[in-house]
Amino acid sequence: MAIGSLARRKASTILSSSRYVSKYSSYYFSRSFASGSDENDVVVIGGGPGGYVAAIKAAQLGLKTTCIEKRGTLGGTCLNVGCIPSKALLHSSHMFHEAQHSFAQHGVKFSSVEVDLPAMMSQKDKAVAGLTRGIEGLFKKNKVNYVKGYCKFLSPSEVSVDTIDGGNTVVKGKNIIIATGSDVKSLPGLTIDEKRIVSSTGALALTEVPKNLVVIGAGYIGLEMGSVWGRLGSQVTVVEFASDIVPTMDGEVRKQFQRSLEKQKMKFMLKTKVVSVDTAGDVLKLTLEPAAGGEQTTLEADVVLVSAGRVPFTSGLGLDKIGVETDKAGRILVNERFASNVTGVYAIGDVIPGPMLAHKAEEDGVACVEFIAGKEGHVDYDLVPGVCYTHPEVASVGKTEEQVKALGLDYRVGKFPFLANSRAKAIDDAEGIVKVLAEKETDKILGVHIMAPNAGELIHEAVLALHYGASSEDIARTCHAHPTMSEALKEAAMATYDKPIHI
Amino acid sequence: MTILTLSRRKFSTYLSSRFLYSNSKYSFSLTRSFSSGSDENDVVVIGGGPGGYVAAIKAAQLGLKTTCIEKRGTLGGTCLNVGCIPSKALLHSSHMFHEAQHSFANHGVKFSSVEVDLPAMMGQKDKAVSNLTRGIEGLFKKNKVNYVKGYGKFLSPSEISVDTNEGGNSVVKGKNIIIATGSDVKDLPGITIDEKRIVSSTGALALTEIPKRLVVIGAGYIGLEMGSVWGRLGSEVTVVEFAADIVPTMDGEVRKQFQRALEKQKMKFMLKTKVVSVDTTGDGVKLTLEPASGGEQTTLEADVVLVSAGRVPFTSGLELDKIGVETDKGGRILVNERFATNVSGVYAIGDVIPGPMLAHKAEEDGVACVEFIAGKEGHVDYDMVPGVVYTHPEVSYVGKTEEQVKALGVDYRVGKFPFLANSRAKAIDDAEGIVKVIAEKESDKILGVHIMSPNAGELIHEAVLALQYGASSEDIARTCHAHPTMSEALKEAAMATYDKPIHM
Repeated sequence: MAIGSLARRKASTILSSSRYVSKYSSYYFSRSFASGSDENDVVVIGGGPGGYVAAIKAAQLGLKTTCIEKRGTLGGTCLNVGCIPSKALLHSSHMFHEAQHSFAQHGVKFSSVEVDLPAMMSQKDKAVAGLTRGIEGLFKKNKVNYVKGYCKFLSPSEVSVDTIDGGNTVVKGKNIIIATGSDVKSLPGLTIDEKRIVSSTGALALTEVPKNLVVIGAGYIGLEMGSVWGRLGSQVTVVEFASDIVPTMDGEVRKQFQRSLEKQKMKFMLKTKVVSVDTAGDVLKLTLEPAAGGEQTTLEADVVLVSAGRVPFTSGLGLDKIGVETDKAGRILVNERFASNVTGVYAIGDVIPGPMLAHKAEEDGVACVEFIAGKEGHVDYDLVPGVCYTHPEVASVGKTEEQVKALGLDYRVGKFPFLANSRAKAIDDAEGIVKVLAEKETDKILGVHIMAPNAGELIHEAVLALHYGASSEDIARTCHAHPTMSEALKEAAMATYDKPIHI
Repeated sequence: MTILTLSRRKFSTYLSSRFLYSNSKYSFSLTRSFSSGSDENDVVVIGGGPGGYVAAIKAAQLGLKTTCIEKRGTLGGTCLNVGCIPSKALLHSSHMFHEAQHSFANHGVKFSSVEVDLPAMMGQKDKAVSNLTRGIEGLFKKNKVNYVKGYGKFLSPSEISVDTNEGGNSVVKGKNIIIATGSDVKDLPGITIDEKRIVSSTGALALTEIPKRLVVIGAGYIGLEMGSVWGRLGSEVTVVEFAADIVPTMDGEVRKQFQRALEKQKMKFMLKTKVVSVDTTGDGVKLTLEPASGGEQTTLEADVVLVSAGRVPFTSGLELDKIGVETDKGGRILVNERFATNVSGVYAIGDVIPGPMLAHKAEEDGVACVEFIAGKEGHVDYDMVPGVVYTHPEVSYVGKTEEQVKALGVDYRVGKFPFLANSRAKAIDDAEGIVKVIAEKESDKILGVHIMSPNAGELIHEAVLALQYGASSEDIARTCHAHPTMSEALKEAAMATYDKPIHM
């Protein structure tokens, strides 16, 4: 009795006995196509990078799809209050900084230059609005049903949605993908008001350039936002509990990176804990203490940015009701098919374990839907690149030297500084390095770390190389255009398996 | 009697009967033994440009006694001194000026007024160039490459007579001689380049004033890059081209968008047009033009004329005839797959041999040639040499154009993705461009990738590596690309090639 022949009956009759569901799910399409019933093949809760990509992919595979999003716009944290607005401000603030510090040397003269913050914010808002509308257009084009509202599970195949316009609707789906993402991690004793004590959301929308900005948490979000305001004139101090900034970064590159940020007048207070923030006066007063305990000190700020991490967001979803398992940190546990412990319920993106990155969520989304559609999907979390969009940027993929050491592998390292790269020198923007790690015996690349202008683009040659199990000699023997920044990757690869020419 | 045991005797005795060593039966051992204390080099490189200096450094790294002869007075060749590097410097600075004028206000950066300080701009360019040329000299010292400043010519297949820059003469001997003399500007009949009003790229990189009207003869990448620089700084730029298309090697569809982008930057094009003559008697320059296929003549006025109608291999004064080195009709030295000429012990690389006239191609030639000389294997695949045009947006490509694929009669599929739909490009409001991927229809094997965008010159290398691995477009589509980056457009175009894009 093929599932296809049941297509004309109401699919809900068949699904009421979930036994059939699990028996048939792995051999055929997990569910048959809906035909005219109000049941979806796929319901995606959350319209961020993971969610909207999963929804579009599902629709492209011919599955009847609904996507539920509470924000009022699509794109999630990333598009609305994350990746995109921050890249816009990073670019604009970099332009201002360049105008102040580099333009004269490059022959571009002006008597004065100043920040027009409303215009800067407006360009950012325009870019965001253009992109969110674009995703809505993709939903229309792919016939994804878009429901605006906040939902919670009634059962593993039904969610109740409180719509934004005040009503309520029940959305049914044979397969439900939870893509609710993450939210800012609060710190005890600190209340975020998005005016003086801000998260990245507020930091992206300040109406004035703060005189003194204190950033709590030296991860890439804090460093990027710190860069923006530092360039626009703020005195920026970064307070971090751990002994290192960006703990996932390769140690040697991190050291150069921190020096680079310090040259940009960013101050660091590592191994320091924020005990409390006094908001009573005009100026904020932070009480600090060494992480290991000891004498307290105070630090004043006009604005404090809380960027000490993000936590998975499942508030109000009603996961308990349907028995979905999460780990201690609140992340939904899934298997390699992105399936939770509850049949028909899947989860992707920031809400499950793995790097909390938009592109990882997108890959999760595509793979999850491919599994649902009876195909194969695959995401290798070891091959997800990471990018920090400061200037210079820092990008990496694969293992750090510390991770390679910890694995006990015999390895070789090749490095090449951008001081010796023709393109970087030609434009007088030559701070940075490429570092390649490879297995000693086989020369197989284990990790690539780049600090440079445009490192975020350069890294993808390395990502592809890792996918192919490349040796550093492979990259070294690939012709790289001259003059480009990418030549530094070639030279570092040459330095890894043999010798570089240009240093 | 191994070659190495002869190392203590004077090599010249053995080399006098050169034909023994040049016999292919020795191609399996080191082509030549190492010199020890004699004045003969294992490798002599004539020319210190990208091909030459890279070959010299590589040879030295492989333990070969090496001398490099260069007449310019500085190393780095055309590329470093009057080509790639200074042009990238000016392209960057002029782009900053153009952005300051046109984009900065929208991005919240307000100026009272902004103007060009040409001496400062040229100063930065000169500083970058001299730093890099000094850097190459430093690499020569570090690798113990003997550097001779002068003009060399062949006395025999193993001897070069050098008229040194300080006025003397020296004879440099080498068991293996690599000709890396590069190329020079192609002259046009009836037009005399004075590097003041009628300039080659060399003069165009050093103008002391912004020309009011600049006419560029030749719509190749050099002319378009230089035209961009001066156009951004305020010149009215007209590009005159004999052929029907600009940059003939570019994929036709991308070329069309590219030309439109340049036209939006106020560059004017006169295609299928021939320059008959140039009149320099007055204050300005008067060009007489004619349709390429003949017809009514017209005139065009300019303050400066840039002649960028191609480059020709440079072998002047080398005395190749004397030793019998064969060249083709274009004057390029003919070599086999080991970069060896028809004369034993004489090799050639870079712009002076057939192949794309690109610095990175010369560098690859240099490394491979030296590896062959050292008894190893080298390899350069000219089909995988990327090309980059450094305008804004940049254009880069590797592999075949759609026209080439059609001509091969291969069944193919195409995937495209516009940067208007790329998050990073939209975030910074710099979203003009496209990625175009061409793959075999049945196997999905990538045949060519063409990119027009900001930073296209960096983005292309993922595609170059992919081609080296015989990648399918699905391979690229299933590789995780960081968000938000321009590179995601390559992923989406690959998705569009084998399946469907998500973001379009």
